[in-house]
Amino acid sequence: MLAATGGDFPLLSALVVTPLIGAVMIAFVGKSRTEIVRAFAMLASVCTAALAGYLLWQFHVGDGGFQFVEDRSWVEAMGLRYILGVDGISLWMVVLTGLIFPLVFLSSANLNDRFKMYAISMLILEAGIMGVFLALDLVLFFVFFEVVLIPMYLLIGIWGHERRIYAALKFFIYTMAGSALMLAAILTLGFLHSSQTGVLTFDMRELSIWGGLAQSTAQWLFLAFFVAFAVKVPIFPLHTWLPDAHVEAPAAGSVVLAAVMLKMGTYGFLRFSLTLFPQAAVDMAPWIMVLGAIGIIYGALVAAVQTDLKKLIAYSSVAHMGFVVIGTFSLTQPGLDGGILTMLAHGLNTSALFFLVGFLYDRRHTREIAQFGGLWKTMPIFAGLFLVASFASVGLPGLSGFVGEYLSLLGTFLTSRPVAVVSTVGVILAALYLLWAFQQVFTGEPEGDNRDTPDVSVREIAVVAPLLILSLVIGLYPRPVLDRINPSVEALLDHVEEQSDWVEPSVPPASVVHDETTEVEAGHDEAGAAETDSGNAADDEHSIGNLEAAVPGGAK
Amino acid sequence: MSALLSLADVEALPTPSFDWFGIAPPVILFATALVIILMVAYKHRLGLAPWLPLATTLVGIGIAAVYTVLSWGKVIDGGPYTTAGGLVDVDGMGIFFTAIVLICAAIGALVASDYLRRERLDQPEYFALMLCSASGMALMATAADLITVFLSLEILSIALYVLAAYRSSEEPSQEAGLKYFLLGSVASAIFLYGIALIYGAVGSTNLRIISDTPVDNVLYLAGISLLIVGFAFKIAAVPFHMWTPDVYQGAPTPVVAFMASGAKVAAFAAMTRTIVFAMNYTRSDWQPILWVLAVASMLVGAVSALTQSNVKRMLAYSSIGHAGFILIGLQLSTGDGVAATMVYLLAYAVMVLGTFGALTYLSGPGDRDTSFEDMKGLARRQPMMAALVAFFLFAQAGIPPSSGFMAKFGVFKAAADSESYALVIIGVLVAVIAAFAYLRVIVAMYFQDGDEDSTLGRVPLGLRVGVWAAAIFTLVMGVLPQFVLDLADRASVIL
Repeated sequence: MLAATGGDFPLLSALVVTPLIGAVMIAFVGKSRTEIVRAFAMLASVCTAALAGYLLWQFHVGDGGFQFVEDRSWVEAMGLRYILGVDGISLWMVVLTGLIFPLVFLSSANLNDRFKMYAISMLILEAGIMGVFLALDLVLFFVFFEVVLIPMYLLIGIWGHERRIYAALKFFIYTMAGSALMLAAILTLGFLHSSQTGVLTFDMRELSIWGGLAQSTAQWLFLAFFVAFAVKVPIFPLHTWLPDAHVEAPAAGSVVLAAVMLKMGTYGFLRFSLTLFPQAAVDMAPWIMVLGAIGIIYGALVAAVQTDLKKLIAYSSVAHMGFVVIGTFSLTQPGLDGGILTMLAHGLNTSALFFLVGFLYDRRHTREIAQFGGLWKTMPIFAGLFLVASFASVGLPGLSGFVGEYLSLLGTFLTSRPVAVVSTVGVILAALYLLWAFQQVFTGEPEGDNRDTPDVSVREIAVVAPLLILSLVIGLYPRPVLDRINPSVEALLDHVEEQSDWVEPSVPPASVVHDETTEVEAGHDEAGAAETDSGNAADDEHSIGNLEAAVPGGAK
Repeated sequence: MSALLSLADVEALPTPSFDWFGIAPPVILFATALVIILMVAYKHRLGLAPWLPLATTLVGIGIAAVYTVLSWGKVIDGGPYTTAGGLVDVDGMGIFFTAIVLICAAIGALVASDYLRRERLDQPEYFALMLCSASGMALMATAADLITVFLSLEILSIALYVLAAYRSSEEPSQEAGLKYFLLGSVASAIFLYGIALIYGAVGSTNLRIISDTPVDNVLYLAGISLLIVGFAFKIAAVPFHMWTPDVYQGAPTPVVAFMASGAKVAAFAAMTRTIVFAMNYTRSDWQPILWVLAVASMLVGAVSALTQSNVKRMLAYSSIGHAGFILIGLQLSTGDGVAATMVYLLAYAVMVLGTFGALTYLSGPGDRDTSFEDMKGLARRQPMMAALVAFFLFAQAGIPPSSGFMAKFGVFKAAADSESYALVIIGVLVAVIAAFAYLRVIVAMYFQDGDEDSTLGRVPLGLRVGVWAAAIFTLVMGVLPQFVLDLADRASVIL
């Protein structure tokens, strides 16, 4: 039934199918053979990671369109097609997904309770998430979007903590309720398109260039999509499921949730909301940015008063995702770049933090900040890792968190100065709550159980180290990442400008620096010179050059 | 004298031509039932192997299935035709629904056989009654005359009344049978009254003639309303659903599997023919009624399912909700809507058979352990069965990849195509409420701890085959539904 249209190896399908093959293989292993299950799970996730790495290797830099596109017929009677494709916006999410899952399995080496089912759930989850980031047919996307729910629901509900049932139900119902209206919107969009053009399709590439949607309809459809994605992100005030889900989920579940599943929401904004309903997005953008800013401040303030370490990180996620939201809806090149980069950075930093809190919980069976103290002396390596992860999360220059947030704020500043100013306060608050927590947990003299808590093992270091190293690499040299993001962001913004009355605010001359070297002083000196070589083509290069100049400068 | 002579003149008597080929499935099913009854009659003289009734039933269904497939080929190539003096329509839709009924009967029989052994109930009579009922369902799917609809409705119902009370030693089963019988008879009477009024208005009970006669008077409209009431009772649509929870809870679980799938499919098939096709020109009169029935069924089904503490009862409310979703497709009265209805019914029948089939095994000796309390910790005791039930429940909730999602998607798609956006929005939101009820079962099975040791024996072979077949179908139809959609599309062209 699936007639191939392209002759090449279906790399993107392989990304979706490989974890599924692993899950099927595991299903046939006896449930007492945990070691074999573990090996299969690891194998499947490492193969997927290798495929994601190969995708990154083969990805054509400088091409803003979709690559590796697979377009096959799926359900002709309903106009559904099986379309997968990757571009600069989804590339990094795919790579992040590929990276996280082997680490998740590595971190679950001590989990023996119903491990078989755990592995199957995780692998189905991985396949679903890959599908979400790759699908270009709206209904196919929706299918993957929903598929992800079940394994996550089981992960929280079975392997979670005390209030896991409540948290699992809340997670499921929130997300399903959010996406219900999106399904209605998808159908409406498809049929409005077919009634005008006579072609029934849910191919988002075709729907995005259609442009025949009445403005009032577009706004309603935009809102339906918005609710679905806003629940996922989550955007204030739809965030209340997140702290519960995070706190009750097992460590690995929290990692997947934070690292990749929240990104499904912001990715949805970029891929569908902006592309399909540009004018509506432009109209609503100021309001959404305000919500994003509220999320930043609210998340930070609530995080600051948490007594539970995991809940603190969960609320910090709300704040970080706020930066993605303001960056995205600033509708500027640096804003979108920053949003995508923050998605990636948050995936690395927050999962490192969740892993570390999980390790601590394994040792102490508590996450109460007040229960800890002086751990620096008993667990020096752990403390060091936690410190780096905290710094990265806070946005210390030189680590990935900074680059993304800086660019988001830069883009926001161009569009809405008040939002940018308010959001910047969030950066300071982040430093406040994370460092305060660090101080409580690690400094001072260890007492009671804190005196004999064993330090992290080599395996545990191996789980966190890749994340932190990548965070450092991206923080110091974000260019390779941005080079791949940029053309797609440009194409997206061009599309928005073309189909709406939006004019991207130009970068203020003072910040325009065009310099290939990373020397800061030179960068600043050349600011004036760069101003002279104007022209649109050069403009985009400027923002990258500027960024590269700014990062090491801040690090000093 | 001359009058008597003319009566004796056999030549002059109008004998309708019977195309036995076209009406083979119901005839074969009924004949199989008779064979089984004969076996019982000679049981004491010849002895009766315990596997024989089930084997005979499956062979009968198999032969009927062969005829159904052949008949499908004939109709697709040569076009639909009417036979038995205009009482039976052999067309794509009828054959499609007949096929669903055969699936229901086959899986229903597989699931029931071990149940009967476990509960020490008589085997052959059960299968004979079930085949009788299935024959009524198959006939109902092809009925072309209100009289045929009524007759087949009675054939299928009376057998089901008995089946519902099959555990005659147990009070809940007796109560279920009696309740179903009393309310069902009233509904049949109302339905018959509706037929009478239609006959009074049109002058015929033939659906083709009814559809060609443009009448729109009070008599006719009253007739339609009464027919709708009769159908609404059979499909368990709100507000004619009161019997459903009690009957589903009290009746033996394999009977519920068969009843919830087959009876609903047959009633919807007849409803499509009678209301949507034959009375299409008055659709502006009955569409609002069906709209209200659909919305009320979806809402009441979903909300009431939330508060139940018994899984069978919860599933009864969920089947009421499903009736609402199916009514969306009918209410549109478009070709797309009918095709979506057919696909939904196929998906629904298989999911329900699977769910109740698994539950037949899990309910344990005495068929009692069906409360949420009994489901606790099931994932540890019975990992495979729990996983299957969970899959069926997710499918019923409409979560992809499952036939349940494709079915709901098809109905919503048809509704969006007719610009019934209100129905789409109500539908997707109700689906979320309904999902919550299914999730509660999964919570009990997977997230809560119960007894560690299972008192249940091995999963019997017949039940395992039936439930796994249902699960695989549900999954495949969720991933690659093209095949089924094509069939439904070709079958629904008669509108």
